[in-house]
Amino acid sequence: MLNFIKKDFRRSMWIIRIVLAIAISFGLMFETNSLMIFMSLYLSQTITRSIIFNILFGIIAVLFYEIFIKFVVNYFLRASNVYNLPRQEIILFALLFHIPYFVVLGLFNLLFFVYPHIYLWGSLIFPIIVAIPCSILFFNTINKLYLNVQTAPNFFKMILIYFAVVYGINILLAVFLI
Amino acid sequence: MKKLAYICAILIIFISSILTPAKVTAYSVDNTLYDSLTYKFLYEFVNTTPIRDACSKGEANAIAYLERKFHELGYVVDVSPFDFSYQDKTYTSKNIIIKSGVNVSNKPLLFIGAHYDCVENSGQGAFDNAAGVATVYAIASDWINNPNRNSMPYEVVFVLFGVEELGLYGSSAFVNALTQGQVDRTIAMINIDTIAAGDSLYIYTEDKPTSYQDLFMSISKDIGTVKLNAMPVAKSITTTYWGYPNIVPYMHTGQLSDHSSFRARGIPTVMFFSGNLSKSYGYIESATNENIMHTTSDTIATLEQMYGTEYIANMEFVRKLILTTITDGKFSEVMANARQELVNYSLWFNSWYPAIISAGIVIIFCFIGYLKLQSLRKKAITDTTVIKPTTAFTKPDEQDIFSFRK
Repeated sequence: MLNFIKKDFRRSMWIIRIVLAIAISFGLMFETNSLMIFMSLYLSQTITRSIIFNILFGIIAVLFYEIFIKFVVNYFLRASNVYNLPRQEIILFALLFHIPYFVVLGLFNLLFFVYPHIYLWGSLIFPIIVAIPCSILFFNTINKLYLNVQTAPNFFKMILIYFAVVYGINILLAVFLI
Repeated sequence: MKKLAYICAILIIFISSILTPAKVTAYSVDNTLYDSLTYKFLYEFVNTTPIRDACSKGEANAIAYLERKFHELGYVVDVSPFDFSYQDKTYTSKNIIIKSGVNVSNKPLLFIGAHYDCVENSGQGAFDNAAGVATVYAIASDWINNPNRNSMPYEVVFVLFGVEELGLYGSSAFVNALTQGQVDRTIAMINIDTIAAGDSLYIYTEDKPTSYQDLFMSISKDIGTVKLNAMPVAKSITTTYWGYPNIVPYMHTGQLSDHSSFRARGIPTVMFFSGNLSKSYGYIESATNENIMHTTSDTIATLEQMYGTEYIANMEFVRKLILTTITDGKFSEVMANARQELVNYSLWFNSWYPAIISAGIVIIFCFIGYLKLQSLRKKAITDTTVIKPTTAFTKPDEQDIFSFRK
């Protein structure tokens, strides 16, 4: 699969964008539908509208993700003192590893449709559980393709810091806002 | 230009298919249902007091009317005033508490209730919630005439709540006035709200299956006149509205009524409502009829036009179901264990526990990551650097990049 992705950058980027939009639609389906119900304040929500809203949300989310990931990767590479890596390709792989993240998260989130009372626990714990293997896979792939023994520790350190900061903020928000 | 016209036409058809209002469908008519007590009460109630919005003159008339009607049945009626704040102003409204008058201070309590108020400009408020009040009235009428009621292991108290529509103020005031002893003695609260219109009748107890819901469902099958559905809870959840009435971190249709005030104090609750949760994501009243809740169309005339006599059948069904279930031998036994079946709010809706677990996972991952980082650093010192290609992609290659279009 990696070899297929590595063949043509532009084609891979578009495939990843489309699949990521679908993955986000699936992964955040529970949240998106909740938002839709909240916005319409319990007026009728047909299944067609629900699907359209989910897909639109996925497309918009991909646009935002791409901008966000660009910013993060640029910062990563600068902070890791790695200047000779192809940023666009790292961005592509960062987006690529968000696909399994959202798919697996979506599978976990299906539990909310059956046991909604676990929402508070699940919304905090599931993303962390899913993010760990995805982060490791992302690092291993980047390490295999681009990094050398000198640059790998710095890049790995940045991933650890990013993980700790993002999920640290997530946990603090949950404690103080909910 | 032609292409643009085609695209516009397709878009218009697509959008209109999504936005077109539903058509009215004919429902069955059973003229014998017009003789039922629920219909007679509903008809008289909405015609006597069609306006019952909170703190209005109509509300006062409705209270006086209901007090008189339940008193005529032979009940002791206590009209209990309460204050509530709404949009920075304090108002007073009243709950109507209906007891059989027997001194049963130590008996377990079973509350059966409905709200009698309606929103402003909502026709006669027939669906929301005069139909619920009519059903409570019919149950109360049956109950007082039940020769075995004094031998039942619990005391039934009927409560008609005020100001539900503005935020469950009546039921909150009522529950807050209960002593802890009364709360502990309460076996359940059965709430009837918006049961007349809509395609299906639903029962909601908890956000998970419960044995007391199963009991109601099984008895409903024996009655068989109307199909009772267990509410598919997660279909109408919104997580962005943090708590209505501020007890759970999400909101859904099953929570939006007075029983939630009781549930917040740990009392098992049963809620009956109607609507359609199968043809849509979220709550709609009907897949084929317009919504009438909180509109000027909420009248008996509209109910008849849209649902024939099915709205009376719903009321009669709920009346019979509740009476049959609470007099069933299994009811007390099932309700005795009901509290153990409740979702543990202090466990599942306390963000500290998942936060601590999440923090633990993050710390463990970062610690293992730190060990890995140390080994990578060690390797960086000992190993020689391997130069890798700067790009992993075979396309675009140098030829693509440095070639120019002709």
